[in-house]
Amino acid sequence: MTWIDGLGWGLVVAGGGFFTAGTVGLLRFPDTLTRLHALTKADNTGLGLVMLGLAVQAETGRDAGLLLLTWALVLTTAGPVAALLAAARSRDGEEEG
Amino acid sequence: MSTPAAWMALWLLVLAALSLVRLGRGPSESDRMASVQILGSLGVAIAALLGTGTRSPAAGTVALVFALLAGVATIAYARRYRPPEEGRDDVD
Repeated sequence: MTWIDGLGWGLVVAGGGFFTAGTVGLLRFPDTLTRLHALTKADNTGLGLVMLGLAVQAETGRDAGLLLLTWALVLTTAGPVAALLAAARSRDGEEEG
Repeated sequence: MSTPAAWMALWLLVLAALSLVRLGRGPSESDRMASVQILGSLGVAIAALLGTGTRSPAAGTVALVFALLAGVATIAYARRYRPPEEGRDDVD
């Protein structure tokens, strides 16, 4: 295993750690808004590290570019998603009393 | 199949199953949609890992489609339940 592979899998494992933290936060945080924090910060960072680790080991530049492009797409959608979910939350609170 | 990819994909699958707990329990709809978004991100990572582990380039496209679906689905939901404004009667 070359050092590139070691670096790649190290990044993937770190990404897995961030995903774990994000899921624990989703389950254990006391409030909707804090759970959205776990979603946007921890899970997106975890995804970025996993994609980076895989891109480092990718066979071709095109594959690596596709992985990083997918991560950029997830980041771009996650921002408005969290903001819209936070805004919709106030309406849920009224409906459920 | 490459072993580290298999183990990490399996672990992410366990996390996805755990996020289903919030899907069922989360008091508000926003909590459930947050769980859906997390399932989407985990799905992207799992698809990319499986693609690298099996040397299959098609899995990268699967990951991209997954990312699109998760984002669009959550935004479509949130658009439907906009915060209440005065004089609006077109939202359930």
